[in-house]
Amino acid sequence: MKLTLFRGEGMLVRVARGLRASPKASIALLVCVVLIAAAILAPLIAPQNPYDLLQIDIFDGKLPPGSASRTGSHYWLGTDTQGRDMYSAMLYGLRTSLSVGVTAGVLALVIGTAMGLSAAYFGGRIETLIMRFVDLMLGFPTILVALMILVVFGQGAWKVILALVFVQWAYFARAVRSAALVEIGKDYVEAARCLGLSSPRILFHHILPNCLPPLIVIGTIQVAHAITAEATLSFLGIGLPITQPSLGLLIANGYQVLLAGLYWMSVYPGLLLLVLVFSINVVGDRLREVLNPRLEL
Amino acid sequence: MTLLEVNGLKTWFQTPWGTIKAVDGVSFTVNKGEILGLVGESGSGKSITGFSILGLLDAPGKVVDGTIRFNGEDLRAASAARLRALRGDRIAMIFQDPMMTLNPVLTIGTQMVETVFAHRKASHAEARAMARDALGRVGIPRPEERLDAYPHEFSGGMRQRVAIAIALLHEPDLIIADEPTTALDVTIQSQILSEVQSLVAEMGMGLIWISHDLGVVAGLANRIAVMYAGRLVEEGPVDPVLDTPRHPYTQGLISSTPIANERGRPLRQIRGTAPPPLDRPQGCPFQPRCDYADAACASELTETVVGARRWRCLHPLGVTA
Amino acid sequence: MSDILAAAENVSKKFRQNPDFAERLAIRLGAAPEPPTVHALDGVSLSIARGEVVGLVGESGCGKSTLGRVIGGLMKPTEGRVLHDGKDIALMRGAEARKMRLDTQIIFQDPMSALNPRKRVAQIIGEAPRVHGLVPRAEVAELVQRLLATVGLDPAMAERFSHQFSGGQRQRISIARSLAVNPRFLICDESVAALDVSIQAQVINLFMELRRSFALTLLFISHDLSVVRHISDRVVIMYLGRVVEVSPAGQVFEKPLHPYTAALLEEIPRLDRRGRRFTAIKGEIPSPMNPPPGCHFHPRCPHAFDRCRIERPALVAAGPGQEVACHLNMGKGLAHLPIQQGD
Repeated sequence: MKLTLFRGEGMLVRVARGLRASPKASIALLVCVVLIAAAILAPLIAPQNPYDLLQIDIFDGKLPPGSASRTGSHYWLGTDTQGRDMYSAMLYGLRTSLSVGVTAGVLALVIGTAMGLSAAYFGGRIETLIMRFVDLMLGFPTILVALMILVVFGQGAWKVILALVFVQWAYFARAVRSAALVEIGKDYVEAARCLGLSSPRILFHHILPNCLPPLIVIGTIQVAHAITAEATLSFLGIGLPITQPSLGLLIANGYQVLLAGLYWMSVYPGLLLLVLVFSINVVGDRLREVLNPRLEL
Repeated sequence: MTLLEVNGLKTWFQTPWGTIKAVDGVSFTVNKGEILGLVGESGSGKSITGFSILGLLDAPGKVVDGTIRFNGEDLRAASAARLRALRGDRIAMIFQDPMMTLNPVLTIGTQMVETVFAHRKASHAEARAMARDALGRVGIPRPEERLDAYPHEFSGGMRQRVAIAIALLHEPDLIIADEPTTALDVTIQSQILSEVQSLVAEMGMGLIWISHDLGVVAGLANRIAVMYAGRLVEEGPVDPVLDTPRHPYTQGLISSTPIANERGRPLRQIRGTAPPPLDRPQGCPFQPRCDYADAACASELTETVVGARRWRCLHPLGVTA
Repeated sequence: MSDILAAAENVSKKFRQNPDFAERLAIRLGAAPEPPTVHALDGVSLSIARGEVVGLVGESGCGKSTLGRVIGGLMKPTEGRVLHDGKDIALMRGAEARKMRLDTQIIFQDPMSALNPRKRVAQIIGEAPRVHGLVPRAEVAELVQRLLATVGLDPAMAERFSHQFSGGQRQRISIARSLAVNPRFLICDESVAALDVSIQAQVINLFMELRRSFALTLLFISHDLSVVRHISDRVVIMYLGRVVEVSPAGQVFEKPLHPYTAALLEEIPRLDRRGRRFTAIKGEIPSPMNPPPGCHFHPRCPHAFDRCRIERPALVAAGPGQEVACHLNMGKGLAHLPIQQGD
């Protein structure tokens, strides 16, 4: 027998309780928070600004982790070929990776949601048009489409974001449409129509808030996807320009000397990327469990 | 002859917010060839009682106290394997939604033959013949052909008949039916009730008919047991219970039906709502809604037994102390 | 102003699944069948007088909910007209259309899905009057309090979410939400069907009370003839998309005219019918996708004769305030058969 309990708690309380109940998710969330804070505060906490040529000493190049600099401080994670402190470079790289990933994720969410909601609410030709386009988008391999866009438009942070949004909005559109179709079938939407409320009002005040749970889950996972996709593109040398190095670009740079035994230049940024994406995905999975109404006690 | 004897059954659910006493000390018996109508509103524990007997409770539900004896055998002590062997063979269950028992991707015949094999050694032809007979018994026309149909090819009423036919396959001693006609239209409900009635008369099985509808139970059952908030508040033969209810809740249920009221006048109603499962009052659970309650009702209530009837009330109606 | 508040004139409603481009192509090429058409309403006329309570009864698939939504203006009929205050609602525009929209409110069956789970009761009830400017913004809160009291809820509960209420309380909130826009016409679509017996009586009483105090007109849609008989002035019986009988509520139980009405009455489970032999009306309810010709009820009717299998009976007067669609006794249904046994 299923036992349904109605407790007076909002979605935030439920999410918080659900995350806390799982030690794995709690740790992952903590890691995410620490990494995000580090990215935001990078200019304050990094020992040097790796892109300020005045702070970099080319003679400190290729130092292994723990080496002392010529000014007396230590390079705990070593330096790269140009003598940049790896720790500082990784903080700045994290900052770039996260901002590109989150911006792309949020934009894709906004566009996808608008498309999905319109498809579900208006139906008919509009729905057919949007959803066939979504099918088409989902049929292409993400990286291939992004590659093509970047080859056409060239490098740059905004171009990478554009490419990522272009390949990701369809996931949101599909999820929102199916969630919205369920909500539209419920009596409260019909009641709202009966009360003479306008379509935008019904869409944004009634249907959208009830579609949020799946959106949050997909949003989280898609941010992780965006970060890996950006890293892949940058690794391949067509993502971000060398002036805005992300974690992917750091890995690529270190990769060239990896076989020479200078492992730290690509292994540490690689580990950081792994930890970041893994934690976001763990949090996302837990959110899926907490917000999925079918799994509720 | 006593077929099923439930004594002091308590089924509780441990939740993070407290213990829900879904069934809290329920006792009743069912004899062979007898129909017991188990009546109650949502949350009264009537369905959980049925699931407890069958050992079909999902966590965190657990039978914490009481005995369940079926043909003299203690079902609480029985192993999971023994319960599985009994279910579908000696005890069968019919649900409100027939799709709980039917698999949408298999033909009716396949499912019925499998049910036969689960409890009997038989040839395929024998099993199919048993299935065909069972379908015929519940009034399904052209049973031989219908064996090859899928559940979605049947209407709601016909699907419920198929579910009943599957329950009848092994001619069980006891059937527990949980609101099996609630989702059906009035005329279809009548057809099914009519089939069930003649089957019980013919095969002499015991039947527990769980329902919220007093009218259905009045027409079908021999005895009525009324549940409220996990307790059995009144039990007895249909006529006396409905004509001279002792418990104010039973009385309230009866007099709030439109038929019992003059047309267009306000219906006599029970005030208030059932207590939330985690916040039930001490003593009689009905006292906050009862017109006769006094301070004594907050104490633990004992059962009064008079002849074939019993009730749990300190101020029974129509009884002068 | 006429006496008639709302009316359906010869209304039909067909539902057909709209094939998309690929399906249309397949149908054109003969590779797929034409999508089936469900004839939910088939030439239904019904008028509801100001202040009247009309009960609409029928089994699943009879089109009663569709009729409710068509009269309520939430669905457009495929054929026929719906009149509100004597005017075709399809031709209404602007202020007139809005007035009709607010005048007619529907109370739905499922108290769980009828309330937006992410809103507080005060928002649920107060939204429409605030958006439409029916009361000054500052007085919305007060209106909500007053309405909650009207439907028998504690006004202090206004800040709660709907999932903190029981089914009966939620239904009261739905009613308060509808009353907030000052409707004159309430359509209750199985509004008490999902409620427990003891709660059902409370909500029925509330409807009767509101009808009096707000001078409401009610269309009470239900499968439960005994509930409908109790609350209504007039009862309309539907079967498979058609009206088969209209009778004053007092007479429905005593003198059913249509064999279907008689059968329904016979089948209602009643407390005073104990240990009875259930003798069922034969056959299943036919699919509305493929209804039988002639009188839709003929395959199940014990009195059917040849004419019933061919010709659709018209709904004609058969007695004081009574109408029936039946070929028996020259179109008067069971009117003067030897006494039809009720019980």
